[in-house]
Amino acid sequence: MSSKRHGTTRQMSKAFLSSPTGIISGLILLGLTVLVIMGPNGFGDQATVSDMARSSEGPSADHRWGTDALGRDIFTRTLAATRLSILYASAAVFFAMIVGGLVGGLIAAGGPRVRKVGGAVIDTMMGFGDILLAVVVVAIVGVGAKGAVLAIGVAFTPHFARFTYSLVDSVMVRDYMSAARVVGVSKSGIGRRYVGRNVADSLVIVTFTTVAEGIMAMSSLSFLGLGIQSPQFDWGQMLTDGVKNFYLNPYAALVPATLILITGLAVNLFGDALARAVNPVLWSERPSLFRSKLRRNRAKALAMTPEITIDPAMETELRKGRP
Amino acid sequence: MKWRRFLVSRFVRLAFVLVAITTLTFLMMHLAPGDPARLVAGMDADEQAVQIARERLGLDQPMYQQFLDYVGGLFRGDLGTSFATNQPVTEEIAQKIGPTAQLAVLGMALILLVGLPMGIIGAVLTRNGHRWFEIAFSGSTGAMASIPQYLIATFLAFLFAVTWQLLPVAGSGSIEAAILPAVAIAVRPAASIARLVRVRTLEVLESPYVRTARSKRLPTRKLYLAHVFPNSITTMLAMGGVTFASLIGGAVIVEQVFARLGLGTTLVHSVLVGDYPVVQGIVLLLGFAVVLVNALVDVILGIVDPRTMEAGR
Amino acid sequence: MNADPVSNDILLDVRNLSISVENRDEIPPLVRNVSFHLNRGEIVGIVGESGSGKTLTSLAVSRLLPQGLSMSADRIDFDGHDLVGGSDRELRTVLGTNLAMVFQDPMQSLNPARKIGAQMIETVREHRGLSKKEARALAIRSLEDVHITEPAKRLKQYPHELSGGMRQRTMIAMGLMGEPSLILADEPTTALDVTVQAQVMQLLCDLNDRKGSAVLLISHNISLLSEVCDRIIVMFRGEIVEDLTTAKLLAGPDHPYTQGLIRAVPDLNTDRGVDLVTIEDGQFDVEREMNHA
Repeated sequence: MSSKRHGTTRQMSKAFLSSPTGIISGLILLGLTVLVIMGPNGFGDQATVSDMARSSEGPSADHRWGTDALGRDIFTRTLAATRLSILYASAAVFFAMIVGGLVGGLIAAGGPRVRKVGGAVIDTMMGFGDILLAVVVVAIVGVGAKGAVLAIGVAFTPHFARFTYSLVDSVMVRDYMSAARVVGVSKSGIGRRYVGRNVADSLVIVTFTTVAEGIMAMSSLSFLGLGIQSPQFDWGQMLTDGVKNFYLNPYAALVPATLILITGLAVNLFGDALARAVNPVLWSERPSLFRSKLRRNRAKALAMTPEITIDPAMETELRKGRP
Repeated sequence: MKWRRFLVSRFVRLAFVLVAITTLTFLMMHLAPGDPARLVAGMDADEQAVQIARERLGLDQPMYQQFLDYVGGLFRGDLGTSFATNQPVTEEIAQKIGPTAQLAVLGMALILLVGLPMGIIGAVLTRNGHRWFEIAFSGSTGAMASIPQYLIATFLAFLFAVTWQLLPVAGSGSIEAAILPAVAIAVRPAASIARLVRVRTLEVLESPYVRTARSKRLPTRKLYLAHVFPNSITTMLAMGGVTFASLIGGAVIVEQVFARLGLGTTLVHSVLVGDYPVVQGIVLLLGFAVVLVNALVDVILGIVDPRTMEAGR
Repeated sequence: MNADPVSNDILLDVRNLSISVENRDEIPPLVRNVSFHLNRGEIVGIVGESGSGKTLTSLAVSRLLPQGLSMSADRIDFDGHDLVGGSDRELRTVLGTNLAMVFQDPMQSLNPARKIGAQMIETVREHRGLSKKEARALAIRSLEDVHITEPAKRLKQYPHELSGGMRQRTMIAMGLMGEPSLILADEPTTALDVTVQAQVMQLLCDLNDRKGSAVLLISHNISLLSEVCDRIIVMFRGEIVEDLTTAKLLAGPDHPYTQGLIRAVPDLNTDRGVDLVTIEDGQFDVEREMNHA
């Protein structure tokens, strides 16, 4: 897999650039990255200092989308909230990937009893839904940014565990795995060279697209008042305030809501384009915004299931095995 | 015989999960930082008052004793007393369950009445070669399935309540007040069900067994009812548990958007003020509901499609 | 009824059948001007590699072409009915009862969510108005005909509870419910293992013997067909290249493609040191070969 990729970086970027969705979402993500780096302090007073004389105004010349209940500029404040909204969500998803990946891997490596019970526990946890799980964790850990990150992390962990578990499972039954065992590659060698590498590729892409879910879930906790607390602010918290004053200036809710949506879509589309780029099977396909929806899903699925071809590492192993 | 083994295994699993939920909710208060007794007595209460509160709550007992009391209480229908209102938790829940149940029922109805037919009609139209339709269908349901429910709620409130002023934006009394929130929580699961059902129905329509059925020249109505429908509906049933959980989770948040006084708003409020008995009670109730619905779905699936009985653990 | 005794004997008559992809004129027709006939009680095989159009031909005859394909023919007569001009509604009963279909994959050709009994009786219930009780009795007899043990119990079972060979025999039994004059079997044994294959072939011959049903057997395996068929039709790239009796086939066919097909089947005497014959692209120019002949 990797040696195949070696000389094909250019082909990969070409495949990536051939899709308009990849470019557009890439540009949006670039903009968001700039906003994350700038952070709340990069926007001066308009985002943070209140001006009660101009509270909850509708759109005007100096405040394009109006002001919030404390007279702060909605648009600037929404942009300023980008850093925390994205960073905390990423932290939560990263936590879930590490813990979930480990748990899933351990269950897959375990005996039949471990797999049975482990699988049942994961399924049950997933059955409760992310929100209920997150609220329970917040109730235990306490309200605030730290609690919210942990809550979303725990809520997403079973998804990663389930994903890793089935991924490892699907790699283990591939023909080249049995071949590796027959040739006498050691257990740890199999784990490192065959399972590890195949699983890591897919896990990275899935983690990336899950960040979109993470941002939305994180915002929802903040929206409930269980996440980031004042004076820190993120999109979810702004949404809460906005909904309270819906009749005065609806944009106080609509602007952060729209940015959450745009970010989620951009991350998703970028993840799809990425999946397409790393999957040689799809290089020749010319994706278009609409037609490709079905294909993209297939692309994602393909990128998630390891290649069926003989692994190059396997070939060397086979040759070594010959007298 | 097969049925008995299937039911027993489901029942064992159900019991196992219920015990796990009970234990978890019990531990919740003990895992949380801070002393519940101090919370009850008040932040500036003296040591003696805190001690009295501790004894009243039974927190001075050994852990296992507390757990036994908790479980014993559950069997008597006693979920403890709210720290905040001093009302029994069961009472609190009884007062708030109405709006949430209303949302869940309306939401479920919307999903069944909109998502399922859309998926099947979508499959038939796709098969008949309406290309534009396939594009529009995939695009719109794909977008709808990826927007979280609280954002849908916000946009709906803006359009229907603020801009057009057709429906009330808040409240939990009338049925009109329930329309927007129900739509808000139903859109996302309905869209994902419509997508799944469409893909599944397309598969079924192309399957060898439907070709066999076609070769029998049954009337179209019979072909669909007897051969296509039972096979495509299992997908939706299998999604039933997840859908219900998503409805519950959605309700918790969407109630907040529309300021409905339901279990969701109460749960969130109780977490914020540290009213653990109420949190315990609501989590227990919602958790049990989700688990029971999942078990029910498994049994119905077993009736509709007996293969799942053997595939399931 | 036609007074001509010869055509009275003809069960299926196909003249100039072509199948093409709808709205795609640039793609050449998948099946081109195919003509053949089948007499009553005859067992005829259609042989060809995958993509030769043999399956499409059988689907066109049974009017089950998948969406997106269209057919044209000067004439397809089945059992005295015109399959080209007639509407599906008109032909419903004829196709539903007189024609039995047996498909390649017995694992997936029965509806997994319905009991065997329900699937078996619906044809006669629909087309002949039999009562449930009569239909069940008929189903039990049908299952006995295909040597399935405990038929009454099978009716209450689901397809996944039966083995592959049993399912294929159930498919055949299902076809027999309508007392068909033609059984159209498309690769009926490909998905089965060798001993079961023999049973199923034996069964088809048996039914032909006892009930007089003609059998149109489609396969890529020419040696299998030569064991049971009276006559064999060879298809290649959407056309019929040869239509000959089995005796003639065994004596040595005229067409080089057919000769190639025979050599492509290994048997115990095949020299294992030599590669089997394969058909290369462009090796046979059908039109040139036909003009030659």
